[in-house]
Amino acid sequence: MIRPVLIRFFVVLLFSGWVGFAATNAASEESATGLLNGIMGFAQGLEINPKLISALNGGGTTVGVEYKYENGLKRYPLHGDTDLALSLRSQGLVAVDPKKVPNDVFIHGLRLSVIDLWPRTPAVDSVAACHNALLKERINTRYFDPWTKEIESGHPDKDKMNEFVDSASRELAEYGRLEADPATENWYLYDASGKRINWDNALKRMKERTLFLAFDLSADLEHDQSLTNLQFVGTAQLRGKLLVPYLDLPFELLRGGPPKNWSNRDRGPHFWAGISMVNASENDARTALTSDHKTFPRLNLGAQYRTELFSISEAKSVALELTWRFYYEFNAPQPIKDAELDRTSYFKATVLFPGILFIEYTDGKLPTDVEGGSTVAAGWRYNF
Amino acid sequence: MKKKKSKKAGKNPKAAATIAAAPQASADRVDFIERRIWRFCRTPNDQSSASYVDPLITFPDFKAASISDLIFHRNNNTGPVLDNNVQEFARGLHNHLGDNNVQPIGNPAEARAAVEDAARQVGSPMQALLDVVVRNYR
Repeated sequence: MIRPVLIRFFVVLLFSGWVGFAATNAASEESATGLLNGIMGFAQGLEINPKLISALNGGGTTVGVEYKYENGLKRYPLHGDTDLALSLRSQGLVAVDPKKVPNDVFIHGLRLSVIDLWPRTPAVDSVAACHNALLKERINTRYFDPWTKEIESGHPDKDKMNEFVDSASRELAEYGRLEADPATENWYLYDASGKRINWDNALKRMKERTLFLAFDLSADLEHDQSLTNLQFVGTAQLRGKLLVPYLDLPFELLRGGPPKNWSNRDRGPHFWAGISMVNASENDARTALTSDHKTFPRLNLGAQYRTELFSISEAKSVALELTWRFYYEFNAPQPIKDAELDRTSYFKATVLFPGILFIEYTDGKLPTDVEGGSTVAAGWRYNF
Repeated sequence: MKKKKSKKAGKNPKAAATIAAAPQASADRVDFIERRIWRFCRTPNDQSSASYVDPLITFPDFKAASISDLIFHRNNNTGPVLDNNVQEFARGLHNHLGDNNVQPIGNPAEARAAVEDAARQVGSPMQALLDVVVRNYR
């Protein structure tokens, strides 16, 4: 009974979001353009990646399209950089033959987030911050931007460039010795200990922090591609990201230095942990096992990390991406335990080669999967 | 009073709504703000030496780049990972602009939300992100 209601709910939700955007623009005199912008704007949060997927149990190979969609609906400031946000999202993997993809799950839902629970704090008082901001603005306007424009011109006037650096050096003398590097289009400051930093790093008004943290309250519909296993899930989740590259230190020892490819320097790991209330009365795979415990609490944990395995140069580097998810149903009925559906975990390791090619290994199962399994996928990453 | 044209509003209707009340920035100020975004994306000046784009990208190439060139899209981030990265990016940029005396025109939360929305638009030109920032900050 719940299934048609849920589907209708999400169709209405998607439609209401679209109408909301259309209405925003309808008031303008260019309503047709506004309407088109509304539709385009709404569709623009969509990203699609084609994949070739092969089950390792001999189940065969299929092609699929992985998609993700996210659109912010409302935003309110709470304190400092901390915001309250309402958003709409959807993600999944549409396979030509879904039976050959043992671990697929679609998620569609609404989310209320508290973004940045541990915001940066001021490094200096407001007077100093104001002074620094004005100084930076002046240095950038008078010296740094004209200096970079000389480089961009293709026929730089070296005397003029030296003049810009000399003038900026005088104004920044109290922060250290200034050095210009045209190759990286950057200026650096050397402090008394000889430590080199980007010149504008010396005048920051906010302190750096170790973690980025956010809290989400979400209402989601989870299902597989057959739409026979549906679950309605309400979740409270804490998520975050380590902003200091501590975890990369062992990899750095193996590589003999920091990653050569900048896209492998994304810090992390990312992590998330939440408690959900799940209504599984429309999950046919589950109700076939038991009619008990149709609504139950579930723990979910997850982590993701990316680093560089090895590299010859920036263009010739191989990256490794690891993802792990774990779900645990509290006080699960015995048939669910016997079927090993009370605790499910899913692991994904992706090796990314130069270009956009990748090989991906997955193992385990997700909450709506009846059976677990391993797959190997090879493909390419393409974003619309 | 002459109404502003909405065709420059880009593909984000919320950003378009914000423009209506925003004063027009001078060409020099637009260039200043756009260069600060470039600077931030190359060298966010955090503890990790990470970059949001190729750290050697020139300003003209940055303006001609795509949102897909931002690290979290290049790395195909999804779910909570993408959320963390986009939200952290918007806050880092917000603070970097503040460091350079560039402030949000209206509600800072809405300015950050507009940046987050623009940064999620995979495939859009980078200029769309620059335009959103110019419309929401001065």
